[in-house]
Amino acid sequence: MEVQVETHGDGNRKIFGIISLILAIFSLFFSLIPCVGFYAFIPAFIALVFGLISFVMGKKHEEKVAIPLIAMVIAGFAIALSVYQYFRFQEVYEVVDEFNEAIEEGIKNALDSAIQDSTIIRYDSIPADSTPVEPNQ
Amino acid sequence: MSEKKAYMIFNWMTVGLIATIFGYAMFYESAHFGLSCPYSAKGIPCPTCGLTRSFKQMLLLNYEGAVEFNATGVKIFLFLAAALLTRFLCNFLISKKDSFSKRLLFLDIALNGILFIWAFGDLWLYIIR
Repeated sequence: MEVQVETHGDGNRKIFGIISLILAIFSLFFSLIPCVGFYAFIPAFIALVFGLISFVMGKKHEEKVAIPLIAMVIAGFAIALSVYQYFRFQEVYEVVDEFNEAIEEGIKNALDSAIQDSTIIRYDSIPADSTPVEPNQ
Repeated sequence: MSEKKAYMIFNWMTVGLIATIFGYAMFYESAHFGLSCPYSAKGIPCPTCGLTRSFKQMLLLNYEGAVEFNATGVKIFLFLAAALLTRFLCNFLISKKDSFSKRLLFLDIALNGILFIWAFGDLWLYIIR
C-alpha cells in the first residue's frame, strides 16, 4: 500500500500556484476592459511572482508544475495586454488633446479675423467728411 | 495536496472572487465608490461604460435595463454567472468521485473557454481595431 506523506510546505506551494492562476485569469478579464485595462498590470504582476515562486519551489522538489506554468503564461499575456492598453490610452489622450488644441486655435483665429474684419468695416464705413475715430473707443 | 483538493480550492476561491464582483456591482452606489471612465471624460465612446450598472440590473433581473446600460455587460454577466454555477457543479461532481477526473477538468476548461470567447469577443475586436 502506497502512503502519501503531505508536508506543510507542499500545501503552500500548491496554494501559491492556485492563487497565481486565479489572479492571472481575472487579470486577463480585467485587462480586456478598455478604460481601466492598464490597472490589470498590478494583479497580473502579483500572479506572475506567485507563479514563479510556486514554479521554482515545485521544480526544486521535482513535482508537477503545470498550474504555476499556466498561471505564468496567462499572467504574461495579461501584462502584455495591460501595457498595450496603457499605450493605446496614452495615444488616444494625445490625439484628443491635439484635436482640442486645434479646435481652440481655430476658434481663436476665427475670432481674431472677425475682429479685424469688423475693424476694417468700421474704418470703411466712416464717411469721408467726418472726423477720424480711433478703434476700440 | 492532491489534484482533487487543489481543484476544489481553486473553485471555491473563484466563487469568492465572482461573488465579490457581483457584490460590488450591487452595492457600489451605497458605498459611494465607483470607477470613472477616463475615455468618456474626454468624450470618447467606450464599450464598457455602464458595465457595473448593467451588472446591477441583471442582478435585479431587469434584462431590458441591463441591455440599455451596456449590451456587452449582459454577456459578461452571463459568463460570470455560468462560471459561478459551473464552480459549484464541478465541486459537487468531484466530491462524489474518489479520484480526480481529468475529463471533467477538460470539459470545464472547454465550456468556460467558449463562453469567455463569446462574452469578451466584442472587446477583443474593439482592442484589435
